[in-house]
Amino acid sequence: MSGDSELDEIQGIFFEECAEGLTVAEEGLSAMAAGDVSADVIAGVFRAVHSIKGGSGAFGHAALLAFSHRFENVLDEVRGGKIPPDEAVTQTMLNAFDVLSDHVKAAQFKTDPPNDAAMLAQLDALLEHKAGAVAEAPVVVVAEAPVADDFGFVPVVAPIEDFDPFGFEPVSVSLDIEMDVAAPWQVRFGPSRGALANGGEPLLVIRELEAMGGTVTAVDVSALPKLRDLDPEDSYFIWTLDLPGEMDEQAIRDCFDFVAPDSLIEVARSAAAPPPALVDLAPVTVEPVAAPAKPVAAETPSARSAPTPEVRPAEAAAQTIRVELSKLDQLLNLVGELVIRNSILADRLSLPDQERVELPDLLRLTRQIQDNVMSLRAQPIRQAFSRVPRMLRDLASETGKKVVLETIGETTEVDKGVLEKIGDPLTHMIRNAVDHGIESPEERIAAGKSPEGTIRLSAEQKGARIIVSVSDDGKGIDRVRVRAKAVEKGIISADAVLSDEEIDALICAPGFSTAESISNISGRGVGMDVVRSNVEALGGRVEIHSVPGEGTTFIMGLPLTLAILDGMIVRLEEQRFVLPLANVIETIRPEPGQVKATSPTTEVIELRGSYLPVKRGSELFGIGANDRRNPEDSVIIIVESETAGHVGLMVDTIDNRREVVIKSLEDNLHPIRGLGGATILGDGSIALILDIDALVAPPPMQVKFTQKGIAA
Amino acid sequence: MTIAEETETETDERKIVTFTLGHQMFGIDMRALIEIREWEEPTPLPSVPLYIKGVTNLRGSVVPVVGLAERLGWEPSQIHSRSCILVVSIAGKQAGFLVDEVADIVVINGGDIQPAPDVDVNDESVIAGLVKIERRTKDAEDAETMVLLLDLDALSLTRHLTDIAA
Repeated sequence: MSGDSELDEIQGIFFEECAEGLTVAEEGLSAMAAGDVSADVIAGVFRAVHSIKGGSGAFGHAALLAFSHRFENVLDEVRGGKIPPDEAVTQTMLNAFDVLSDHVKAAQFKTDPPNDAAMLAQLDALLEHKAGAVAEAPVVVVAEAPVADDFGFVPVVAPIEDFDPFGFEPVSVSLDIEMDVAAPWQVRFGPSRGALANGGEPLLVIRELEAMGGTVTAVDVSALPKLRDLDPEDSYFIWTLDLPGEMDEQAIRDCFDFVAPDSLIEVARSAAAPPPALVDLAPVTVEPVAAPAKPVAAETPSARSAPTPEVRPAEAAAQTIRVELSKLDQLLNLVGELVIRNSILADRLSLPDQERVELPDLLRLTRQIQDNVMSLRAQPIRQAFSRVPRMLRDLASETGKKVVLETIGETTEVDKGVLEKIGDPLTHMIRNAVDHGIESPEERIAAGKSPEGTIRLSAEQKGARIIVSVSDDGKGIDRVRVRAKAVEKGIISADAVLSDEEIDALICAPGFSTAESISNISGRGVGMDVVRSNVEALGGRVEIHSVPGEGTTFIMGLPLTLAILDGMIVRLEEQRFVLPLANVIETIRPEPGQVKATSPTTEVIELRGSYLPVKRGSELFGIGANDRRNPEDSVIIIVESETAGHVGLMVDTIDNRREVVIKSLEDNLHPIRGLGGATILGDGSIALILDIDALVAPPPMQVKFTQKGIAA
Repeated sequence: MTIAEETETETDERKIVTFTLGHQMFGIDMRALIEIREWEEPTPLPSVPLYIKGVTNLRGSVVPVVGLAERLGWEPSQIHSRSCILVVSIAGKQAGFLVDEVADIVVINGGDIQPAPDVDVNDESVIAGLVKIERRTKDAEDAETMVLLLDLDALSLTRHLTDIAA
């Protein structure tokens, strides 16, 4: 029915949903650990684990299925009040959650599933100790497999980020188990009108139930319209089935896992013990005709007979849809183009026409569309924060340190592209904080602190930047040791005079590591170096503040989006370039004599008593060879680069400052050293965006653009 | 021609766009063509081979413009009023080729294509084959001419330039 690639795609969706489910479950569990054990929270965790279980069965991830099933059982008991959600239970569940994430990962990357025997035993222990427990029915693991086989389409049915996609809540199990004589189950099933359109073939569900020993006792065809009004895409029937009383209700409900939302599903013990005779079966013969039908606008005929109390209406979840990122990018591209066309149009119109109301209106509308499209790519930073608690738990158990996490501003929204790239720096910063910042409980007590260390993770938006900080209340940076280490590693000379800030910054220097022994957490000597280069590659900065004995704070300043850059438009030989404003320190129109040659090819500028190297932009790009124009006729922009510190870049003039949409050169060509991309200016022409770091890199890395003069 | 007619099958017909570089006529598969634009001075790029004239704005995308004549090792094209840019898609990437003049769109049979004689002394051959077409000229009936069919994949910029990018 579906090719491999199709299946892979559906699997991909499943794992995306797993990731979302895990996030929800973790948030819920963390809330429980923090003391919020309200029914909503527990139910949220349950639903999340439940949907992971459902999908894992459908895709034959047996290990994941088995584990999630057991986990779900425990959650179900917690939800039903049979297991009190006390601290120990919550902790066990948090641990179980970690194992579950490992299972998902193993299934996703086809690695060996984690060893979950110990965890399963703990979960079982919980189940056994629950108050007044009735012996659990054995785990019905395989029950779902057939569903999966019949339904190749499965996860497509519920691709909405609705953690209750099935329109029902499998509650109330426990009540019935305690009945002495198990009365037969009576199941009423009316697929929603949309079920067939979504590929939800009701017959497969009926067969599934029949395979479990069920019999169809009645088919309600009262909703069936006249033949000419029949819509083949609609379902009109409501089936009634009887199932043996000893069946587990959950097993029955599992059959409906992949039924479209809004379907009528009632599972109840029939009050009258003898099942109704096989009456009413005649309408079944109508079935072939039943498929075709016509939309009846007036009412939805299916399944509107009063739902039983057990069938809770689907919770009103936020309506969301999945959109491929590439489509959003395309939209953003087109809107950017629209903005450009707008200004071209404005340029072509006479001044009185330009000032008429229509044009400014159009411009404003276009800007609004642009902002909206940008906001579509924005995601709460929570997504990046969500993996921190797990990491901290692991770190805490590895190091024996006790750490409490505080998060602030996790709803702050950032562009998806930024979000994807801050994960790694964040991980390194947290690891660093636990490994080097927070002391062991004994040391902390000795220092008069609480034995538990605190790591505070915060995010806030400041203008067009997002500030993410990680602070710990540990021992702070040991500047004496850092300095000694830097001297030892040859990063600084022994007699260098450094300020505290400069010493702190050394820990971000390449190849620096002060860890006495190399732990498996940090100390590979790449950590903070990687953080810094990753963040700077994003157009951000890293700052470090440390107070000995009180703790250290790492601050990342990041752009809100990677698609738009705040730039300065400069001219070189009549060609326009964009200089990222983040790199610009100041601009200077040199006085005569302020720029001095130190060799035939090198120059320096004297600035407030110190000398900075000056590079001629025209030379860097090989434009206008042997350009020896007077520095006084140029503008020097002091830029800051990671590799070369402050450097003066000589350009002809500065046009203006504006936000530009970054277009990558790789899309159709390949990256070019010294260029961060290109942008399209208001007149439709292209300006190249300079990559300052690559451009002013010190001699060993310096590549002069000699292959081709840039001016035609 | 007789052999070609015998083996002719309808499915083997293909459309090519013909154009000139100097006095030579070239052809590319019509399916790869996105559009034909007038010549417009592209924005030059640093650090690229000379045959890459620069980049231009194609409906919001930054597209490289290649001097096809130089790329093929001929004398660089002189820009004149009929110079134009063939925008093509090669393996999902767009590129513009500067050509001297676009001639025609002709239908050829796959069976008519002769393999290019292996005389290419440069790197790998960018000529996929040779085909004869009849020119739509006013006078001469025998205006047959040879068209060099280009192998667009071999002309891919990203493929050729990976080493330069470093």
